[in-house]
Amino acid sequence: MSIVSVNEDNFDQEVLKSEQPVLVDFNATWCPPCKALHPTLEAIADESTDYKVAAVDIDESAELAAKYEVSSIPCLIVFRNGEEVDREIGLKPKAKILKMLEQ
Amino acid sequence: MYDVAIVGGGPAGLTAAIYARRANKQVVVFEATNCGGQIINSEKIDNYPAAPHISGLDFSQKLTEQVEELGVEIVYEQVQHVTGSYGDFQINTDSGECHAKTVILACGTDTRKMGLEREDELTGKGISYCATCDGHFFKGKDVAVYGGGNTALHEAIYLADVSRKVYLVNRRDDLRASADLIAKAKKKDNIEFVLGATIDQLSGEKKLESVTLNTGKKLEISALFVAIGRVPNIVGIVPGLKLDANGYADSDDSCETNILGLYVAGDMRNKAVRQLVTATSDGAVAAVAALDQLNNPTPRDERYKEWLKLYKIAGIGLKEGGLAAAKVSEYMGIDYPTAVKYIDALDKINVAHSDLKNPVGHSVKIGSLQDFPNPDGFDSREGDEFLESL
Repeated sequence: MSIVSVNEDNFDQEVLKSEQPVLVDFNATWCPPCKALHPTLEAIADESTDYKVAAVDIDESAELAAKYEVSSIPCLIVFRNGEEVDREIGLKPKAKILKMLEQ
Repeated sequence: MYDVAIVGGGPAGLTAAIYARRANKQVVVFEATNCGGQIINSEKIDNYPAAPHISGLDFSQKLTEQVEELGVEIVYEQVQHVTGSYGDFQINTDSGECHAKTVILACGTDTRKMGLEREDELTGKGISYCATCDGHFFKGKDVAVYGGGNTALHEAIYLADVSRKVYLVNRRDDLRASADLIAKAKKKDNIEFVLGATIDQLSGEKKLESVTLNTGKKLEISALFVAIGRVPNIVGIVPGLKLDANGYADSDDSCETNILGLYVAGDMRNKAVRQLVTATSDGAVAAVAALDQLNNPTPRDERYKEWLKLYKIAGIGLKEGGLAAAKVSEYMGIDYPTAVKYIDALDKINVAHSDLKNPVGHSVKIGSLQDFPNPDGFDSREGDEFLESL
């Protein structure tokens, strides 16, 4: 599966109502570590269908960023059954991100 | 068993990988997050030769691609420990272990934390270590930058265009940053310098709302950007590795540490200049030293000492031929005429002492040592090759 682009219109459907756990990457086009993290997230999205990987552009969806109090990016949040269960800020190794999803 | 294991995929580690791989060695790079290192956060690089204006991210990506094309294996795992010795180092990662004959540490540095209560809790909730990443969230707000070096000044100048007001808090009364950055910052009307003050307390209910200084003054701010320096990323990874008082690894001009077969490169080295260009330079030097060790069974420092001893004797010989020849004859246990010939050969070695200390990059020609005896393990090889082997 590839990374799903998510914004204020489809966040409910794609993230909160998802049956699978969702890893949401809050990012911005001007943030270098966000870009650096991208290949890792692509690999995670490609490797398994057990979870979904979604990306939120915080400029495009400023309200979502505000709602989830994101003030440092890249910010990774794992949602399970519509609830936030884990959150990490900054560049993280693949193993650590997978651990977030497995919990 | 790898020939060379490199810990850290920044510019130093990846450059070392290029050199080692091009010498046909089996090379592995361990990287905890993403290749590129600290430079990815630099919007623009303007001081790397022949690559003006390149972004840090582009630089990193090109370098990573170059390394991958050469067939270097990159393992994305955090290294926990490096143990063992030359010939068989053991590298333990999150999920396993591997073995390598030599190891190059290029783990870089990380941002220094303030060590204040609630610092971790409020990180990402107003406390940040990267203004270009997070400044945007505090548009039109009042913020502070903590520190007085180049990074701190860069951040303050960047934030001055985004935020309403920027306090620049620095422990010392003067700023360590370069004069041009200080001048630039002083031109910004909305930067207020708060010098000779430390931040003692962080306050706020769910997110940062204010900081209290040691002077008792309270700054109402939405964000604090911490830029009080960096710390090396090596604490405890390699038992027995000699570090300086600040935790940087001690090494010689060839990036060799106190442990045979273990080298350091980049920002984690104890050195004066920490720049992209010195990181890549270290990478090359460390790799060449590792290759040299792999290609020559006699420990390098022993051969080097031996060489210097001979060179010293020959040096005297240039001025006082007869005396030197006698000394060489005595030292090597060879007859006097042979000693004279030996000194003549050494005389042809047009190499400064500083070049001897660092064999990388020199291009000296020496006469053939073919005709001379071979005491103490000296090879009778052609000059360049002979010097390369040092």
